[in-house]
Amino acid sequence: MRVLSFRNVYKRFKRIEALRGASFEIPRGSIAGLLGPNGAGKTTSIKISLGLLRRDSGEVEVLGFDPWHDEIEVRSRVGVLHERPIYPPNVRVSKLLLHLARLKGGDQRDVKRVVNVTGLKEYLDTKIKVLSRGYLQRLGLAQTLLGDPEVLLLDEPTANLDPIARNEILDLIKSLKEELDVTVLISTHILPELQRICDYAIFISMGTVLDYGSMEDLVSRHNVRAVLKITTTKPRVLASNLVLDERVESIEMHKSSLLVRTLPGYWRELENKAYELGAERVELVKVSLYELYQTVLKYAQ
Amino acid sequence: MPNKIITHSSYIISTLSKPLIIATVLLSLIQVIFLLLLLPNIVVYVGPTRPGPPTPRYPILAPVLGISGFLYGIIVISLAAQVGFELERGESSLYLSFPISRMSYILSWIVSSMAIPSLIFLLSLLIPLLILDPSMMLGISGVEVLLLLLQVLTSGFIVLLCSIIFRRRSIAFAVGLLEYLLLPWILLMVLSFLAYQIYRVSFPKESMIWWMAFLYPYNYFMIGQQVGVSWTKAVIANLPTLIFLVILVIVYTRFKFEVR
Repeated sequence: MRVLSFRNVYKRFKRIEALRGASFEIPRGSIAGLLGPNGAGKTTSIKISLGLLRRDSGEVEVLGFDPWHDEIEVRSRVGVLHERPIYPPNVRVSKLLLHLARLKGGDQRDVKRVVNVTGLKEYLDTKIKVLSRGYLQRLGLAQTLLGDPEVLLLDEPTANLDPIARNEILDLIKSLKEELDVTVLISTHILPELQRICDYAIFISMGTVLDYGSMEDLVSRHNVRAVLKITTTKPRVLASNLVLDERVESIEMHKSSLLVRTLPGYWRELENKAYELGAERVELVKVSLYELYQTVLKYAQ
Repeated sequence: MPNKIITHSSYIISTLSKPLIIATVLLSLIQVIFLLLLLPNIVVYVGPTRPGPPTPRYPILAPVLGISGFLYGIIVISLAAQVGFELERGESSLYLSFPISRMSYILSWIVSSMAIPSLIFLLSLLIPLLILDPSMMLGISGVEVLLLLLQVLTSGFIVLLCSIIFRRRSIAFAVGLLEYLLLPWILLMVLSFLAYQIYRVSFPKESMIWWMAFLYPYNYFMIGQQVGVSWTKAVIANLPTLIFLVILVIVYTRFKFEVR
């Protein structure tokens, strides 16, 4: 079941056409990356999904609701972290979170829960203006989680953070997805950092969606390199068979598994071959999102 | 919806900047102090023992309303321009990402920037009288107060509309100052000059100040008293203007108001 869908959506800001017939959908339970350069239309898409901006034409559905007309229904079920969010500087963390929790029909217990999850417990009485960027981003995630949302929309959640803070935030997002079973849409222009957590991608450029789908589908469609994790009781035997295959670029052997890097376009065939050779489980574990993006862009042109 | 409006407007008030809170407290104090100072006069003028025709109300309330009304107008304009500041900074997208509708959000600001200051203004006017001698309330006509409220609310809605259309506090505040403070006096000076040039009178005739009733019912009444204008005319002209502005705010919020 899809939680969010755009069909032929247009949005113009005076002379700038932010979205030009954008169409995509996101299935329930995925961590989707909305990927594209600055000015591609990512933030506009997120704001339209929330009913903060009105589309000029086309159809948008979030959990079955039209966000412009059913704004309350959508915002009750969705948590959002905006790009460079602005908070009232002189308000204490606890006061802001309690107010936002109340808007979602919650109370102090919700605040306690989200500050525990995001590690903000010790900063509850701190004024927002003295929080570091990393903690501001944690505050952003905390407010996103208020009211047990079904969908999280995260606009550039790692922007302006140092590498350590970036990894912390990404790990946090991944654990949230696993613990809370929410659907996550992450918008970013920094592709490499997302490839370890995304299982779905939407490529957008100049207001147009170039392609979208699960990683497996995208890798199959666009012939890019992939890394397969093959679980087996006989890794050595399997490796010796696969190493002779011309479609295999390299093999990394572990105790009970192999990491097989494939040449572009062959991962499905190698998946089948691995099963034939007695593999217990084959997973697509890594795709270069950058390579995928370049291929999609070339294909679209 | 009303719950959300109450929740958000009480939050807005609790996060307002210190100068605005100080100004509001100052407004209340000015009114209370002025009224307490004027009370002996009010007692003399409207007390049951005073014989003769009813005393004109103007001299009693005018000094109080002149000062506190000015401050009250500035407070309302500043607060209504704060919406523009929130939209300009992007803070509004945080609140509007939660289940509060665009309409409730704007209504919360109307409550915080206009209804609450108006209530404080009224209460600080009435409480001293009520505490000391409730019978004095009967001696004070509400006409000036009503007209001042209408005038300030008209300016407030103009500023609010500018805030949500332009999303800039500076523009909204500048429009507010121009409309509330400068425009009526500049026009009045021009009209007085014209009145003298054309009719050789030092005060403009009613035919020259009727337009003030639409946006400035209080000024119109206070100035026009000299030439015998009625307060009902001011209310009849201003109310449709105010209602039109309220409808404009509602329609714009419902159909056009976006948060970028």
